[in-house]
Amino acid sequence: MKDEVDQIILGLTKAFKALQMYGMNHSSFRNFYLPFSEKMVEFLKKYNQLSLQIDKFTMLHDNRVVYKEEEMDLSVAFKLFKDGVRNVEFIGGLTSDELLLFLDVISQPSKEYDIALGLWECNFSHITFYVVEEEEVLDYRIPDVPVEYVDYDEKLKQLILREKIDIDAVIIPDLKPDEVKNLMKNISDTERELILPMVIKTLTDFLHTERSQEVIEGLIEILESCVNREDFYNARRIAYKLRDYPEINFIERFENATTVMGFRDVLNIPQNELFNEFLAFIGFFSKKSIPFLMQLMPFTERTDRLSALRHRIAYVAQDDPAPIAEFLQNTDRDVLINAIAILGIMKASGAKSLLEPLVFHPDEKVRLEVIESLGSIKQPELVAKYLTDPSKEARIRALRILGKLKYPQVYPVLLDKIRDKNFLNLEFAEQREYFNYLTANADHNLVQIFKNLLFKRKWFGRKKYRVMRRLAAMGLAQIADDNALEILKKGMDKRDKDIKAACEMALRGKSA
Amino acid sequence: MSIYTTGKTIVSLLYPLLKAVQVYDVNNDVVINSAKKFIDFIEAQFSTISSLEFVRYRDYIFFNKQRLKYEIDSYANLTFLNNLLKNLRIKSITFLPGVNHQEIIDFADIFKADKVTFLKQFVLKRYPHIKVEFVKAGEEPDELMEESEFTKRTYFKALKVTKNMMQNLWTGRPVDVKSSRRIVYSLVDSISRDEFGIIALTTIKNFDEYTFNHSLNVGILALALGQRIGLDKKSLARLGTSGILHDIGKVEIPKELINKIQKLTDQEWETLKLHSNFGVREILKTRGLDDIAMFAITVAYQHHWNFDGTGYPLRDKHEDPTLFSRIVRICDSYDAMTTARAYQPVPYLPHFALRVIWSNQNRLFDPVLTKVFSQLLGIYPVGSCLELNSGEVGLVMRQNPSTIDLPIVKIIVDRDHNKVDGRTIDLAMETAIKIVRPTYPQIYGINPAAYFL
Repeated sequence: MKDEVDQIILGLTKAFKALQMYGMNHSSFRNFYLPFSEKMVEFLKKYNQLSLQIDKFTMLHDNRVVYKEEEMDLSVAFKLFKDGVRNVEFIGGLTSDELLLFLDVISQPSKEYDIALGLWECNFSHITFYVVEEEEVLDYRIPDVPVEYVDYDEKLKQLILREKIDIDAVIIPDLKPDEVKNLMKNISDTERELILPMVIKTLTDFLHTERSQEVIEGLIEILESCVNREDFYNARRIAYKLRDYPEINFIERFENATTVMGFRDVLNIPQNELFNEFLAFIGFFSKKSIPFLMQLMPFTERTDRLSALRHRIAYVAQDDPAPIAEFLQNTDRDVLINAIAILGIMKASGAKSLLEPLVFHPDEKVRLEVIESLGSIKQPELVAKYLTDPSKEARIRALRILGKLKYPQVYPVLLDKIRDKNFLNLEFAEQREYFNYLTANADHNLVQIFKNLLFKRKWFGRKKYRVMRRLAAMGLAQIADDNALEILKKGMDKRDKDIKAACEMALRGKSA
Repeated sequence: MSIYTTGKTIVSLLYPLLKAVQVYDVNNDVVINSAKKFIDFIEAQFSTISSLEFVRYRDYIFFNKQRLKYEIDSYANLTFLNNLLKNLRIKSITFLPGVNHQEIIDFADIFKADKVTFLKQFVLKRYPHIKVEFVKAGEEPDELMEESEFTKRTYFKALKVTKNMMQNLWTGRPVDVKSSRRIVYSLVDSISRDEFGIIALTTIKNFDEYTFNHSLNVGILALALGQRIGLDKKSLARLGTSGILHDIGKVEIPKELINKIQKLTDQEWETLKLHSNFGVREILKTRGLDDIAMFAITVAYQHHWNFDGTGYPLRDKHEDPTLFSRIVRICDSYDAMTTARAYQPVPYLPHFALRVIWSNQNRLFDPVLTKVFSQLLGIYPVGSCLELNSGEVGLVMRQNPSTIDLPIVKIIVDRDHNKVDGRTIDLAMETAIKIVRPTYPQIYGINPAAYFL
């Protein structure tokens, strides 16, 4: 038995040290813990109990010293001894989880932590321990009661009158099944610690009565713990209330690279609700946090979330493009693109001058984002520069935005372009955007122009020209005034199959 | 499965069996099925436990030395078993390996009898795998004294810690948080070992040090109620602390206002009401925001919130008080009513205070918790003085869990109105002695608390 006890104590020592060094989730700790746990369970199967007496730096089994460590921070014995634990007994039936919990309690690093209370809270089934308390002489005397006449009936009468109760009411305190069920649910809610929202509510309600430094500090403490646990729902509720105290910069403590970059996991969390809570929370951040948020953004995987985050940062920047502009020189393409997009979202007055130097940026993706932002800040003359961009995507996007912005200055140019014979060499997507632009900026001549394009006689290249008829017909359908619709109807009666098909398709598309 | 759960399960299986034999013939399917469920379960236990012993001791049922607590899900089973064993003068029943279906049915069957017939039949029929021990006349185990000493020590230490804590707050000195946490854990242990014993100590009231005693008493009553509804140890620690700290905000209220005998002016009343708010701040100052403090903060703030939405401080309509706040609301009112104070020199009798609570369920108090509180304290709560039809006065020493209107009393005044150290009577057993009415102990110059020390 001696050897077996020694082996267990050795295992305990190693597992304890490993836990202190590596923490519970580290494989090194598991490598020490598992053999220790197995040995302990085996021992208890054989002998049913292992009782250890605890002294300052030693542990004894059967009055034999089995453990000695005089270095306070490393000594299991001292850790237990300092909080009054004088005996620990492991009993047959002990589970590995219980042993792990025991180790976890005794390895708590904080000097303030009370190990005796920690063990008590675990409510072990197979570990008992004995704690000594300071012995005190408790002298208490029950006060004497002088004899005093009380008229029972009179007193009762007074009380019934005062309390307005039925003194003869029958008390049957049996609980109905649904009452028991509701109570059980209430208990389980309490035990699941749904107390936090209530505490927040209590503290914020308190602040309605008076401004208390303790309460504000309490709220900030909860806020920190919520942020650490990524509980942004409650964090947001606290932040909302603390905003009433502008002299307390409660958010400053989170506006640093470590905290903000710690939010990386939240960006791609599956639950949208949690992400939205996070977004709402960072709405309380100040401009100071923008550099960190900009670094965080590229970790977002979903485009909808990236877009939401850009909007949120634009909100945080509060119409001031300066902190975002700093990132327009950034060499990281993603960061640069985000900065351009945010400037667009902000619609800030200085954004045009910041974006202009980027119009001819060599990177196509950057240019695409510039076009979007120029569109957002309504700068069609700059967008128009992209009509000759080498990138088809850029040209298409520019056309689309110009169409939306109703920028008539390029109308004659584009009209000429579609009449040009080279127009037929463009890809359909681009051709379509030309027609969309023209339709959106239509003048009274356009219907006639489209009519001519639709009905134009072609002796050669009929097949290639089909697309022009289709686009013209679609344009007429979009204009959809009486004249345009009449033309399409007439087209249906034409013998030319291409014209007929184009008109049919356009009218069908319109009715759909 | 822990010993505690095993014990609870066995009692829950024994209950329908014993009930069934009282109604049906032993060959009825209901009896046979109940017996089968019972035997199947206990047979499985014998692989790890050598014997299954139930002991009845001071209205508590112990299973293999672990006390089975009266909780709402086991209350009916335990009170039934306790009552049955008590009536038949049974001290313990032990089931041994080898007990079989028929033996169990035969054994259950003799429970229909009165105590004399039961004894006869038990001896006649012989049950090789069931041992029964009967209570001997005048038997008073030593454990009784030990338990009571532990309980008293815990109570007075808790009182000292509570007093130190509040006095330190009053004078702006640091509070010993470790001691206050530890003492709550001792109270939880004490409640789980002997709830009636420690509830009895809440009859200790102190006119001069009302706040300390009251705070502790509310903590204890809340713990007892919390245990009865089945809260785990950790939750009990939170609840107990919350109970003790519920009025801590009063340290910020001028003492002369708290002790004022005359009716408070409207302005004074508004000031006094602020103690709920101040409690929040005091707890934050004392304990910061540890796990337990979170619960204590809400209780300190909400303990004057009524069940119907009224009360103070003002709240949003949809806001309900937490479970702990509702528990403390009841315990606070009960202890306050039963304690003499400057403006209430003659306190309410305990049974009257209970009736006030009962009558105000749904309005001021949670009705379900009111029921559990009434089960816990009984119609005549511990510390009540009762005039008996014998002409004597009895002091309620403990509750009978199975008969809440018939407590166990100690004769403290004889029929000639002399104070005596009389016998203890279980009114559920001695049916000839009836309660005439409750009475005021002051009439006899008696402090009920003295009898529990």
